[in-house]
Amino acid sequence: MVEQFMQGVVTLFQPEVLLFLFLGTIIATVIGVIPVLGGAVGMTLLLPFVFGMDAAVALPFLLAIQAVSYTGGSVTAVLLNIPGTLPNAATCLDGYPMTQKGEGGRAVGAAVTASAFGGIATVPLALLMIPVVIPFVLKCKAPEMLLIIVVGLCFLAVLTKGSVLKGLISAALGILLSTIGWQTITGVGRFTFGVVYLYDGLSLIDVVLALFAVPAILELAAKRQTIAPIDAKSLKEFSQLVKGARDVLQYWWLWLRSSVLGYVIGIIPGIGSLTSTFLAYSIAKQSSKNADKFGTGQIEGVIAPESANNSKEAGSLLTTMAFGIPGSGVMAIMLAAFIMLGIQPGPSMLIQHTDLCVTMLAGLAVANVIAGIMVFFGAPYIIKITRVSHVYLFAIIVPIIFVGAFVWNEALLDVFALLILGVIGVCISRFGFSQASMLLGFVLGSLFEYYLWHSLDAYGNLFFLSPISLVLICIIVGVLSQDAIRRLFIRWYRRRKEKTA
Amino acid sequence: MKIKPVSYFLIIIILIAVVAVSYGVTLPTMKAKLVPIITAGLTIILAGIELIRELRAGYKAKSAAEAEAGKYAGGTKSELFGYIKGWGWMALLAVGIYLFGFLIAIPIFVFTYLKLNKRGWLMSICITVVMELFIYGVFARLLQVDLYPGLIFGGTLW
Repeated sequence: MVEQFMQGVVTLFQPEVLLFLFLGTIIATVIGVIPVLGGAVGMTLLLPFVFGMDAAVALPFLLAIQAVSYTGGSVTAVLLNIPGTLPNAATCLDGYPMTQKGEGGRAVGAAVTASAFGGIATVPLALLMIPVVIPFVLKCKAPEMLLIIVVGLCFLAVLTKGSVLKGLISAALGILLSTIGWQTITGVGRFTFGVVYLYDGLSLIDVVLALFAVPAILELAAKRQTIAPIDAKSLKEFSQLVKGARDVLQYWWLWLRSSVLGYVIGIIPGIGSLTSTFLAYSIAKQSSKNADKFGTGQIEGVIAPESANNSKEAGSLLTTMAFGIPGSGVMAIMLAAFIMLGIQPGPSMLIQHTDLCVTMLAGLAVANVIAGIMVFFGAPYIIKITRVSHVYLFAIIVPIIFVGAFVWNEALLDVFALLILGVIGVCISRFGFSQASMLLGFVLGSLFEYYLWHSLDAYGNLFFLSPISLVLICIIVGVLSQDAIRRLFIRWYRRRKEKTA
Repeated sequence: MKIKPVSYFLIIIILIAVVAVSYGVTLPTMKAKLVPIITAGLTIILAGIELIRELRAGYKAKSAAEAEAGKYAGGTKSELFGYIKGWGWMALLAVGIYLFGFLIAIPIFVFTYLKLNKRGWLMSICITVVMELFIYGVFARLLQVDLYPGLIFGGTLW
């Protein structure tokens, strides 16, 4: 185990790995600033480029793109009141008022420092968790793995805004899409309708691009506007940035608390990055002496969400690697990347590829260091990216999407399949369904089927009666009924209040 | 009662799931048919419930929707047109690639799109050249991908 840990760290410091990590961090910073894109779309667009790469180079590269995009996103959140990525929304609450008060530099300094330190500090925690998680993972057999997949799908489904049902429908559609083509267990061709192209099933990269990249780029074209107003304010004084960094050191307890909170939320699948930042913000507000001033430009209101933001990635990655359950929608794309690179996430990954897991986690820390330095010094220039016209973005990104769809199988029909799937992707995105749930359903569909039949064959119809399985079933029921329970509780509380009044 | 676009999408989902169930039933073995039938059946139930909810919500919000219709109709329509236009451009690029291959269709697409959106000549030419070099350099040279040459240059669909 120790040897594999060392091997993982040594791999990270190979020139090629470091070079791509650096490249990934630069791209992520730029992508993070552009609100429509964000880490998920950025990662999707870059999936074709990792084609044929060594997993030890490709995975830290992709991971850096996701993890670091939040750091870039904090700059626009503070200066323009436009969150670069969704979780940066909490930073807007106090970051933008600080800019309006002329303290934008200080807020950016604090946001970037808190983000970077948060991302770095939780990596050792995740590394220490690996030996703890492995024994538990080894106890999971086919029935448990089947139920873990269902848990993951349910967790992501309940994250869907407005309707859990839409999340579940998305997941079911994803599983249904995954059944297209030859079934590995029986060799029967399903839903092929005699079309030879469909016998191999739908291309994973097509589904990823159609669900994330196509809706984002079409939305950009449909809204026809520059991302930020032209008169956006920029940074002026470097001393302000340093002051912000010092603020993080001054509020070190707040930073530490928010970082650990982010990490814990990251471990739990499907809770979501937005929850972690807003929860960190609200806890910071409740515990602050200046609670009433929150929302008017308090530095604590910037430090807390930004610390939680990046720190959650280490926890989320650990769950994705150990159980094959993505902690977030972006991790669902990461899961797809694992499979594309020939690595099966789940228990076997943590045991067979311990060194790769260590490389990825350590890479996360290094990416945060690079991003922190880059954004800290480059913020005044980075902000200018938001003024790029949608016309240029469309003209550049669409060809990349098409080449990306083609590259994997070198089949032109993949490009046409992307066009059709893109329409589904846009509908899923526009009508409030869950892109992440659908992707997860598609990625885990074949595994779901494999574990289902393996459980039935090996353990019979009552395969779900082991203690771990029963706990997992309770979790599934709890997750799916939490909304109803919450509503009942609120109704009961209101009635009680009315009676006492 | 105003039927929202999401309701139509739910109806399409239900129809697809019905087709999936009826197709799944015809599959030869239980191992092949179980998961498609279960997931498609579940989709029909869930989408049906969601459809009823949406229709009921639409009925309740009838008067409010009527009041708001004038306010948002223009924006929604222009956005929808933007989506269709964007998708149309993508379809054109796909057909272009099918006929002429990646290395010819992409520069034509980039340049035409930029020019028709009123960008300057110099900028349009520069971006077109950079894109062509990027696609050729990264994919054809670095990653050694055989980019599709186009139907008229002897390409096949897969």
